[in-house]
Amino acid sequence: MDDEPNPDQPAAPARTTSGIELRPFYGPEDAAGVDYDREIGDPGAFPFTRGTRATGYQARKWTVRQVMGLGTAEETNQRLHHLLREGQTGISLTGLGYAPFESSDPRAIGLVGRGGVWVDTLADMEGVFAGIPIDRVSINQTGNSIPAFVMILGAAKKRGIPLDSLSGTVQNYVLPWGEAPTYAGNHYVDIIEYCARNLPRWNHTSISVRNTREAGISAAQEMAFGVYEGYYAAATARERGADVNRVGQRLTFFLNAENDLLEEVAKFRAMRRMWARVMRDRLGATDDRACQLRFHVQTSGVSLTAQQPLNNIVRATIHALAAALGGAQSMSVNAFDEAFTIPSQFAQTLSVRTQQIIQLESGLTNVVDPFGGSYAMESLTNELEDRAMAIFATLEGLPAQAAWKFISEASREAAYQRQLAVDSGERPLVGVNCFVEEDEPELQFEAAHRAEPDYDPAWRDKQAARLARVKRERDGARWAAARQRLVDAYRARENIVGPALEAAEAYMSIGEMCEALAAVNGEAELRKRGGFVIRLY
Amino acid sequence: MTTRIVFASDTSGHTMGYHVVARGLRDAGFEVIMTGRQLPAEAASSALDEDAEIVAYRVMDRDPVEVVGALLEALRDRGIGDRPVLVGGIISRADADKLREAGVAGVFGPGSKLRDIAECARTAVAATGGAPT
Repeated sequence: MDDEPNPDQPAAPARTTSGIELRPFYGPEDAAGVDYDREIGDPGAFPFTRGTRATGYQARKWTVRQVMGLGTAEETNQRLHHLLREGQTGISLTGLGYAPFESSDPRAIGLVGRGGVWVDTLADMEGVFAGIPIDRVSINQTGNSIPAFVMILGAAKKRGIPLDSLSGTVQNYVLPWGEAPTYAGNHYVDIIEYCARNLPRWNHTSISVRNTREAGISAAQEMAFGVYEGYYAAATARERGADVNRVGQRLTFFLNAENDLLEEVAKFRAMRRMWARVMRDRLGATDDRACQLRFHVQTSGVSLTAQQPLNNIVRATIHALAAALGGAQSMSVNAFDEAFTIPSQFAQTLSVRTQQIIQLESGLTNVVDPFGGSYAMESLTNELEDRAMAIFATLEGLPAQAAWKFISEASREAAYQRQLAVDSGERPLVGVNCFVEEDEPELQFEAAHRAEPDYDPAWRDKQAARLARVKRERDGARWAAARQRLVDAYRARENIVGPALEAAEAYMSIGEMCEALAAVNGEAELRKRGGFVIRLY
Repeated sequence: MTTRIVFASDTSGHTMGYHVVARGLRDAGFEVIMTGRQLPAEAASSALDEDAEIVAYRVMDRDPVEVVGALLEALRDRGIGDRPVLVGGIISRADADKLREAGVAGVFGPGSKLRDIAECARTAVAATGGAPT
């Protein structure tokens, strides 16, 4: 029995992803000296550690918002109807306007409708939302595409829905490629301005640090990078004359939920406190709502495995619990088949069910921040905030472009280290580096999946045909005038959003908009200004 | 002689895996020529220009069967259809089977180990009579 571990002496202390050493238990001394009102506060009170609303989920559950986008307008519309029928309460669309060319372009090989819905013109966006109550259901747009953004607005206008009654989010975030000090021509700031004037219920920014976390960075890094990027966006908008209280009210975050349950709950709490303090102390916000960190969570994808895929249902449930305990406003639970395919309808429905079971059956939504006051949780929250603030201070001391480079290099390094740790078995991944099953049988749903393609080459032909029809039927004079207006605004560095909306309403395609603007002084300049070229193909 | 591998990507988005695998192959002793996002024909031209012994294609946003099929054809068109091809990305089992049937030497998705990818590349190059690393 000599080699049996001594239960009184752990071999090595457990650590969180952020390197925080965990003791086997925590006691009153770990929370000693903490001023409840100043450091923690009731839910709904500054610094919002415990949440942004005193009533929590009793008054309002988080929005069930599975990210989706598949095929062309018809396929996505059908899937949206299905998800809403099954109880989804918000919409999140992906794939919109990522490519700066039309479906008929040779560069679109294998691309149309895979990994997101393909949209060429407003006609497609009208199709995406056909029969969907977008006057009542909020829409999240994944990606920074201004053409896609204005097509959402154009589709609403066509149905007679006033813009100021729409609610939604655009995953816009200000990158340091504008030209100081006015940033005229920085299209990300254009979106912020346009929303402030026309869309009071639209979140103009969604700091997308969730995808950075997917590289394998720690919880403290996710907090620091996210708060820094939000701070930079608000500070930039302020430099161009925006009111920081107004900007802050509609600046949201897109966060991850990972495996380390306790650290993740502490992350959401600590990040709320950190953001509130940065907004108040560094940016001078005085409005409470402008200091509140509100966030959508998309649960981790990188921690899901292609091996033994049903295990992912368990993992995603743990991630969803962390988000719920952490007070998320909106959630997308990653589908269990995501490690090997575009999510099937079956798997996406199960993600909706996961959220419904937590909301309706677990009782977890009855009490806000139930971990508040826990010795371990408060200690972890403090420690995480300290670590994240130290990283934030480093970023704040760098020129903005260098700060982004720092974030990018840290992410790349973390991704490699994570891979080495999984390969070596140091980081356990059930079904991958331990408890591996040889000859995994094909599961029933995989066979079913073959009948429901995640890509169909016919989508492209259908899409190109529709685009040709739209071009034949549109008003050529209106199109030409709108095109000229768009190009003129770009040249003059005026706010680009209004002219882009006019162009969309004249059924100008995304490809045509990008081409017209790139012709002014090159695609590199267009990329630098943001909002039109999201990915290179 | 180190083995030269041209490593292309189908788009510029979500490239963390692309960079991880490239670094893993480099650390395993390969000369990795990262050509970034390229259409299949562009990747094949890079393979020819760089005199690559093996080609790796990361496929994330596009249909793997369609673009890898186009890559294999473009390699044959350039007279280098004998160069082994590796593919990585989010690829269903059904699609992975189709790629192997089409002649792809290895298909790697999440959960793959870097050393297995390197080993597959070495074996595939050795089978063509190329220089072992």
